Amino acid sequence: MGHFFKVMLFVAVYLGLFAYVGLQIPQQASLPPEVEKFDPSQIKTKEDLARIGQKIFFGKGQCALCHSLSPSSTARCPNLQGVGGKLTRDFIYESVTQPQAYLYMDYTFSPPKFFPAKMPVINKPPIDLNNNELLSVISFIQSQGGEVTVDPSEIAQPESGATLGKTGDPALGQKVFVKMGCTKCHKAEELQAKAGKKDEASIRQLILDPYAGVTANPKPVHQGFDQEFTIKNFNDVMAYVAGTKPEAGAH
Amino acid sequence: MISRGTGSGPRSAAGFSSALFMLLLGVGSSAWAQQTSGSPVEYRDIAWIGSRNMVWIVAQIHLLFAGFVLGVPIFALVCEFVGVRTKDARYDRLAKEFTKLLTSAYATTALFGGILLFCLIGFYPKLWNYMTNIFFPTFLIYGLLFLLETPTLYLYWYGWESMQNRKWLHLFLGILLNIFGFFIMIVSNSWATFQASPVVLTESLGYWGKVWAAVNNPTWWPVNIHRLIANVVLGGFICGAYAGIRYLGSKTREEREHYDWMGYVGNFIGIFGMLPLPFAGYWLMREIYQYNQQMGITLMGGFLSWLFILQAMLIGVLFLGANYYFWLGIIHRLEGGVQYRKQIVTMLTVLVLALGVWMTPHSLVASLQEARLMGGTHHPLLGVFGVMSAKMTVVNIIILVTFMSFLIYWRAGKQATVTWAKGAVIGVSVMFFLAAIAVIILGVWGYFVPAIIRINYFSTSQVLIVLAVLLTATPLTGAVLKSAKTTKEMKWGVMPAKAQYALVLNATTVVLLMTLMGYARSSSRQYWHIFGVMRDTSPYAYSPALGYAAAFMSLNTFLFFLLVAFIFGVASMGPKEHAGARSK
Repeated sequence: MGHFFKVMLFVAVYLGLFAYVGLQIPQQASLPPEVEKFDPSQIKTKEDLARIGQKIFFGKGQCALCHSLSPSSTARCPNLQGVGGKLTRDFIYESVTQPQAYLYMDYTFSPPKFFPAKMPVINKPPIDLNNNELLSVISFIQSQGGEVTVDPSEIAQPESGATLGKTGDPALGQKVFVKMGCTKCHKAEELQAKAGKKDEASIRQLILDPYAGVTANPKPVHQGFDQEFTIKNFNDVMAYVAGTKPEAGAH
Repeated sequence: MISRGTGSGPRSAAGFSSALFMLLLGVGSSAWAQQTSGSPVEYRDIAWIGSRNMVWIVAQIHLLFAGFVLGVPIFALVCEFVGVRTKDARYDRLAKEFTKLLTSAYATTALFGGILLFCLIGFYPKLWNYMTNIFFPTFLIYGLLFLLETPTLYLYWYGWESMQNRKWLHLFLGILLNIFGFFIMIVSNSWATFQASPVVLTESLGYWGKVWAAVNNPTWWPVNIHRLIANVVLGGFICGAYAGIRYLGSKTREEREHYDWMGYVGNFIGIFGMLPLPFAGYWLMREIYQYNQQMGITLMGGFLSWLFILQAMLIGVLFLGANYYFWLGIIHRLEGGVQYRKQIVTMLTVLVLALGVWMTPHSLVASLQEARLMGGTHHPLLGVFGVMSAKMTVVNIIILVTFMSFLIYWRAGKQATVTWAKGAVIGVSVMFFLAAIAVIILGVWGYFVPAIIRINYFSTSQVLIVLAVLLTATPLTGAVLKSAKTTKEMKWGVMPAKAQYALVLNATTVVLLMTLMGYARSSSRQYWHIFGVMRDTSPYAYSPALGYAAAFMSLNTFLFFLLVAFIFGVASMGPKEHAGARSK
């Protein structure tokens, strides 16, 4: 048995050495990206927009993982120094949302082939920037040697709970809510409590197209709602879900 | 209408849809902490150790045992077949001993597989539910394959002696065992690879179309091939280590001879499998890059880039350990083996230099002052060796040197009798020389061309050149030695203790490598359960730093070895077969 313990001791020492080496190299955990606090009410100038774009460029957008803002021997993708003065806004938008749309050809092949784009589509998962974030990143890129043409007024302001469902009738909405079978899964009070946290467009999408951006979809529960709702019914349900108080005299 | 298409009834549909709605409304994270009675549980945790760590340990041990259990039947069958063809009973006994280890490990593999399943269902119900919805038919197939695999293994093992007169039937059982094992592996691989590289599953595909699309995801086949080869490597080196330990405890000359030979075969299988493994790994990385550039960058250039320094270090130890064992074999087993000292020193020098380049990181760990003196974290001279062009070149050189070690060992003590032997030897030597020069030229040239040219043409050419040498020199040498005269017999049972420790070192290293690359594969998904589809919203939605991970890998490896030692120790308690009988 003596040799067995010697062997296990040998293994333990070797494993300890490996763990020690592992602890000596640079330590970096991979944390989920922090959700950028994008508060459109704080954006007053183009500089504000570019500043937020810079945060997204180095954060959620993960652009700096490949692109540099000055000449670099280690950058895998083009140096973006000065590109704001060379590229149009539309071209930048197309480059980040459709990286394969405009590519150089490799003429060493016959017929010539496209160089595969290294750029991920940044408004799709896993990066998945929304439109406001995209506009701010474009502003930041334009600020690199060019003029920022994105105007702060283009940033979509979230609709508050107070404006949500303002065109519908909540009392009628309650009836439609039951008739459409929503109560089988949802409690109206719970939805009303959360309604103020989302804008109307997002809630509309959650009801009509809840699987947008989800690539694997085994059981689309909400399937077909876009065909079943009338505009009036839908607005009424929105008003009910938003917790709008019925106006005096209305039903 | 709401329950339409839910399949499992309105109650589950209600739970699923409300969970999804709540999640999309942005309350998923709070749902973790406040599991209300009405909402389905998404995660569960366990005190002290944590659910993620628990799954890490159980999954790692299960996968290591599974790799062993799937790898061993491949070469056990080959050994048995060689025994039948050559009528050398040693090979049959060796195959039987391999299968004994396999049978002992099989139950433990299933045990940890069961624990892993309970852990996944319990800790990750949301993920498990999602995966079940997609992969349920494959779960049934997986169960069916186990129902076929288990009796086949029993028949193969318990029928060994009774089928001595019906050897071809026994070999057929071995083939069946391997087929079932292969399919078990690729079915479970489909689940893990789907998590890393999911595909769009549209309704238009239909039920079975969706199942097949999910199974046949972009990284499925590269992982299947990579794991198949790696399992052989793992099995070979573990059997080698087992033989090494038994050799150290041997009381008689016969036992020493037997376990020395078994150790040699185990090491040979490990190396033989290791040579094509980098090519399979290259294919896998290429597919990952093509599937998602972001994931490739996370692996090779993002926070996981330092992991490849650890990998380089382990591969370096593995190649050195394997070659060292070969060289000790030449010197100790072969009378007059010292005459090869010059060649061994030359190969050692080339190997050490190549490994030095292989392990050089692109960015050095340096203090601020040191970095300023260097003008950055890239050393002015060593920085040249930190890039892929240099790495690809030296890894091909390392493979060529290891193959050369093997050829020298193979040819040692034999005198060729065929007339064309001299020409063949010169041909093989010239081939080695030209291949090494071509690999180096392509490597240096690679610094001056765009990355896409280097990756698509130069690296591929280097790989093909080395493969061509392997595939040409092996049959050529085999043909030369087929009718060769043995001038100096190999003496078994005379290897020193340090050779057996080299075998243990190789086994430990290959297990560490598997734990390391398993961590890399899982971490490349970052904070996604299913990349880009289902986000991890648990408190464990992060990948720990390498130091923590390395300590965990060491712990898992040690636990695995303790279990292996226990199982193999118990397996050896049965009625002992005299080693002398084995060699007869």
